[in-house]
Amino acid sequence: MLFYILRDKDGGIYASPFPSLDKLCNGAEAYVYPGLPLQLLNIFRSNEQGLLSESQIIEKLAVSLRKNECLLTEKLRWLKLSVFSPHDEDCLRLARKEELLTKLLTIVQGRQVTENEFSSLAKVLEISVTELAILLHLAVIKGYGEWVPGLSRRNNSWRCERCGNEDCYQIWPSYYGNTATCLSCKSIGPLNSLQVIYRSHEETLKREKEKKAGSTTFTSSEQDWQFTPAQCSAAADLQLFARDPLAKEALVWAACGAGKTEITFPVIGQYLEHSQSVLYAAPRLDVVHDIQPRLQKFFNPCKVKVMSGLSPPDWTACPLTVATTHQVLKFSRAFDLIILDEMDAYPYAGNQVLEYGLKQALKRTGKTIYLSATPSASILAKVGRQECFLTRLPARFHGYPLPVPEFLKIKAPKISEGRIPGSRSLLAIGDYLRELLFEGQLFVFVPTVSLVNIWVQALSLLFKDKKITGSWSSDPDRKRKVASFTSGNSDVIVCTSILERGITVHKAQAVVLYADHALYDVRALVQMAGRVGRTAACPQGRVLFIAGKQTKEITAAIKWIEEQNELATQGGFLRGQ
Amino acid sequence: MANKFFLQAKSIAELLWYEERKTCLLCGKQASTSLCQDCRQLYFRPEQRRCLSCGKLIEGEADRCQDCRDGNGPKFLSKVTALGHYEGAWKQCIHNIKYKGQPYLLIGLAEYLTSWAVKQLPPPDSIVPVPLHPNRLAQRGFNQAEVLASVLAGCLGIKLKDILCRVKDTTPQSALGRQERLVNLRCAFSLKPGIQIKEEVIWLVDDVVTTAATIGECAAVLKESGAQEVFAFCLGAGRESPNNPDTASIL
Ligand SMILES: [Zn+2]
Ligand SMILES: [Zn+2]
Ligand SMILES: [Zn+2]
Repeated sequence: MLFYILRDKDGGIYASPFPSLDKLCNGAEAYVYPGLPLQLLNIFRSNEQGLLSESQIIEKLAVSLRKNECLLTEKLRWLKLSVFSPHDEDCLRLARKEELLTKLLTIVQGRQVTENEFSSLAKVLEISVTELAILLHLAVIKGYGEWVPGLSRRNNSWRCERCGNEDCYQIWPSYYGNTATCLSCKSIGPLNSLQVIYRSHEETLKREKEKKAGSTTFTSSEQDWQFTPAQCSAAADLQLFARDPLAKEALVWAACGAGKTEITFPVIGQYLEHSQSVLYAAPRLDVVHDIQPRLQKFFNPCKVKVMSGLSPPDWTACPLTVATTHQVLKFSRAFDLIILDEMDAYPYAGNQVLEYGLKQALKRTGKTIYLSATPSASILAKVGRQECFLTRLPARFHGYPLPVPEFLKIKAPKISEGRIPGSRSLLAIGDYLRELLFEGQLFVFVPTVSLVNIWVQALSLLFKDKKITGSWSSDPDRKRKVASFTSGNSDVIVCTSILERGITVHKAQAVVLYADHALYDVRALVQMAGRVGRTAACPQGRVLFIAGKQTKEITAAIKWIEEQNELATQGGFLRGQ
Repeated sequence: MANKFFLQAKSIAELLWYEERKTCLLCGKQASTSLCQDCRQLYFRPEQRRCLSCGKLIEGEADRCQDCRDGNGPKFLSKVTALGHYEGAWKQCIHNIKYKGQPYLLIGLAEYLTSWAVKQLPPPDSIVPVPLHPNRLAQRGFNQAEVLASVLAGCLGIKLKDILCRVKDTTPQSALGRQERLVNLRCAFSLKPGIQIKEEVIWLVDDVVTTAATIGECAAVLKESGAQEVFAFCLGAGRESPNNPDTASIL
């Protein structure tokens, strides 16, 4: 979409894709022709705008275009708006259609709509893409939203306006000079610097929405949450947090497999009762699709909308949305409450984008609840500074304590030519594994992908009567192998720690090899240990950390788990107390 | 905008999100390369012949499609080759490149583009993109053929020469019938002033070859200006159905 420079009554400089509409609504008189991508026009500092003459504006634009190596050959010039322009009639017609604008505003409230999404949105409204663009610009003129370029230039680099990423983009040559496509948010639809985003302003339609939501408002009085005592206590904490006008963030620090999702339901209910909007965000697709029916069951008749890479674009406004974390980037000041499940599931680099997205999606008055089994040092520091409220859920739903990992000091066996030759340490490890295999299936964690097959081979030789499989996160055959393990068709799965989340197996035991590896921090170790004893039918099990030396991380991980158990005991949440 | 490709920051991107794994650009299945084996087979059909005159995928023993054997193919071109069959997900991908502002996708396809082009065509002195009319270029912001040419030129270390210009803003070719297309294009292209291409071997590059009328016209201009030989490369072309060559069409 191309934009044109205009001036308002006070001499302020702004850009519009449809100057005719500005003429109609604000009496604009002239614009700079030809049109350019919005990104190239954001060069006027607010303090200089009133001082620039028309020719100075042209000169400044021309310099910027040259600097950008723009190939535009046409001369920049001011044109009068009194002359008939091709969009005059459309603009005039659409400016009168108030119901259509209201309908559009309800849909785009709280959203960031990129140019590539225009066609799907236009279809919903049964208008053309150009008509949609005109209506969106009408919304901008009336103060409901703003236009921002997909990416903006920052000295010598770029910044994505959707996800905030400043490091990771692809440059390609365009007619308007170097152009960038953001690579960090491309999975929700690529965005480049020639394109624009319509970003809605906060709370412009508040009253409207309340009326609408009235018909499907949720009432929580009848709900029976069926909580364990530990869940009850944590859920009550969260409701206190929700009522505290000053509290902005809360962390639920739960034991692996404690049922942390459910304890947020009463708070969600509380928000829905007040017609406030809630987002439940989770990093993984399977979690999102698993949680939607659970929420829907609880919050009938209020519709629970799903947004993920798999679901088609859905433009209906809903008080409760479940989405993968990528999708938060599609919102702007939309939610009163955001719940972020498994907030620790990201590598460091992803965190920045996510933080940006959450901040952008949350209303200024909104609150965030983080759910985690292994909170990061940075969020714990926030808790320490009392910037974040903390509640703990130390006991699993079945009331048994978490299995505490045992540390075994065994040196890692030597690897030569991609194999592990028989050695005393291999045999020692083998003995322990054999012991565990009497109890059930076995997770064997190794730190790197290259070690997976080496250990599958070595263990296959050691346990000739057992089925051994191996997988890692980017293994194309991963789904099948994991399914074969969870259904009991293989006895041992050798895998990297990335695989550890979201797999629940009945009688599983876990062994972490190379537990002293630099890749394993406290949180990774706790997560791996958390695979064991997750079901009511088999609530206990053993976890072995095997390494040549006991690192600080190993000691800390064992301490974390013991501490959860202690808290659970103190709270009286464990069975038989 | 020539030869300005920075193949940077590519691998970091994949690490950004926990959920994100390397997937095939066309079918979305997990793959270790940017296109999976199945899609490469389905859309690129490397074992299948291309019509030497128009690049269309053809069956059987002949080296030209029926249409070209009947003398309807483009002239002035020594050989035309299409990377893949313009259909299904590959067609969608080319559409995304062109109409959804995603020419960056071409960078991920670079290895397939170059290896196919190098296998099929002799080494050129320069690579020339089919131009877009300035009006359309201003609206879209980029010429997909030029981005494609610059990927090839960058990877192969060959000069990209943006030397053709479109003098007539023609009706989009896809809106016209065959005969109309040829008329529509007549004299639509010219060489930019002051350009020397005497004795050069040239690769002409476009995104999609339909009736090949466009590349034929461009090749005529290049030949008239002294080019020794002109070859053409494109991302997608139609396929001649083995039973009924007349219905072979990509539209
Ligand atoms: Zn981005
Ligand atoms: Zn594929
Ligand atoms: Zn042919």
